[in-house]
Amino acid sequence: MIEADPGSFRDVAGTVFHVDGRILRTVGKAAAEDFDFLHDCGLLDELVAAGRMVDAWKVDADIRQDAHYVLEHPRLPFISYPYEWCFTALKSAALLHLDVHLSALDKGMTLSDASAYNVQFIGSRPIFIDALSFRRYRQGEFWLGYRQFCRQFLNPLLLRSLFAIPHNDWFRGSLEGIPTEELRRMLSPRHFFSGNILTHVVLQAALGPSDGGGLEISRQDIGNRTFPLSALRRMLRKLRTWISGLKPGDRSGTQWREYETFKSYSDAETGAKKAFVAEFCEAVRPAMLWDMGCNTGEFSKAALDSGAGRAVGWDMDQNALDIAFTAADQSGIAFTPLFGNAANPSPAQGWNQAERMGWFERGPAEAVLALAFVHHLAITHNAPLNGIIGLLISIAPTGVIEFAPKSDPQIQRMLQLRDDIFNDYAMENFSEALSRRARIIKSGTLEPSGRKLIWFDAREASS
Amino acid sequence: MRIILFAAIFVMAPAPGDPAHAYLDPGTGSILLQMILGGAAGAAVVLKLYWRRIISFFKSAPGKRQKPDD
Repeated sequence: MIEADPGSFRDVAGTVFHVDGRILRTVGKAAAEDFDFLHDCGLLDELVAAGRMVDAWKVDADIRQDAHYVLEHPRLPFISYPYEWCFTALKSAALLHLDVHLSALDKGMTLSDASAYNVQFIGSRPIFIDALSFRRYRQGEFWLGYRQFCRQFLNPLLLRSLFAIPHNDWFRGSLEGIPTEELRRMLSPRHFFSGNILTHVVLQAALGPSDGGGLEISRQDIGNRTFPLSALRRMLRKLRTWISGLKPGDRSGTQWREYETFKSYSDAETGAKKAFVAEFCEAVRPAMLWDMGCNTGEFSKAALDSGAGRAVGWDMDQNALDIAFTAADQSGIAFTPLFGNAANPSPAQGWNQAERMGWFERGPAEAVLALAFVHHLAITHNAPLNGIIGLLISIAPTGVIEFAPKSDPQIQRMLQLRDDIFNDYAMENFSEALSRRARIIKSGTLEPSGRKLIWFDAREASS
Repeated sequence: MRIILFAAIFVMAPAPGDPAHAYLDPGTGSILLQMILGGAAGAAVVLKLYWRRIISFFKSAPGKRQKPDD
């Protein structure tokens, strides 16, 4: 079956198609010359060998008559979007983008855009996916993707760095990123002491559109003015240095250390939980596992160490995600920690409400972990137990769920200032509801907390 | 006072225009900023554009001025 990718329509150079599970891309005549150059100058091989770009090769395929030829790409294990990335992930994607652009300039090419959606993650390694973004560099041309780079990389990073506000919710509502003019309105005079902020935010916003009158400029005004290659290289390098030094504004040294201590702290219960997850993964060997409420990713790591192929983790704690991403990056494990709220998952959105996929379109996974997850949905979000079970089974047909009794100190803390309206919240009810829809393969109780671990399998129930 | 007025005009003035050759609109601010970063000659062009804007502001009577329709 041939299906055009609903997110691939902006660039007339070519279109991505899904053909029986393969990723094919038609290339128009003009774009073909640029792709041939990308190939012949050695840049494609160089970037692919360095793991910075997905491979692309010509194939015989009859998809569209106006296509000059067709390229095939390897299929990526998972697609995620910049509004699902934590600060550290977005930063590594931004640095990759600048590095790819600098490498392109060395070979006489440039990038026609600077879309964050052109970067994906394999584990925690960013990879550039758009072979048709490369164009032969024309001497003295402007960096056409600069505004887009600021909106989709720089400004979201500055939001967290300067104001301790995570970019995710704003970016999710504004798919083209955070406008420089809007970020500029948030600045106070103390920010004006930074030359980088003055240049890339204040001055760019001042020179661009705002709410006032109008300055007419035309191509004639720009005339034969050029942006020298040396200036472009300098600009990219300076942005790289600035961005590589950016840190979240809400990360104090102590807080960061506390997380790390917490991460390495391994009590008897954590050990028992890891052993349960390991036993599950050794038996099931899921190619893709989703870890709901992944925190710093220690159980995903246990799963990957025991037979899971890849893991995608979801959490709402930005600091935990930054640690999870950094740890996965350092150890090179196939783990992608992402920002997400199970009570309000990423929707299908953008053009035709199909340009960017919702959570569930990107599943199902082969297995799911829901450790210290159910009570957050049930108590904090008042979600019904049966609905939570339905959610988990729709994510993956088999997995491990942790259920905390109401006496658990964490639940008691959640109930401290509110009425306990959760009469149904009980282990028996949860087990009964789960066994109506899945087989319980194994369960165990963690001591001393009394939390229960349940290994379920919904496939066997339906067969 | 005049300097403040000039500065205000400078900051308030939006500038439509699209010198792109690609599918992406690079944005006026982005291009003008690169002209400034590109060196003295480019910066001079940007100053000239704003000077023209300031002159036309004073040449046109307030009642006659029309809001740009783009």
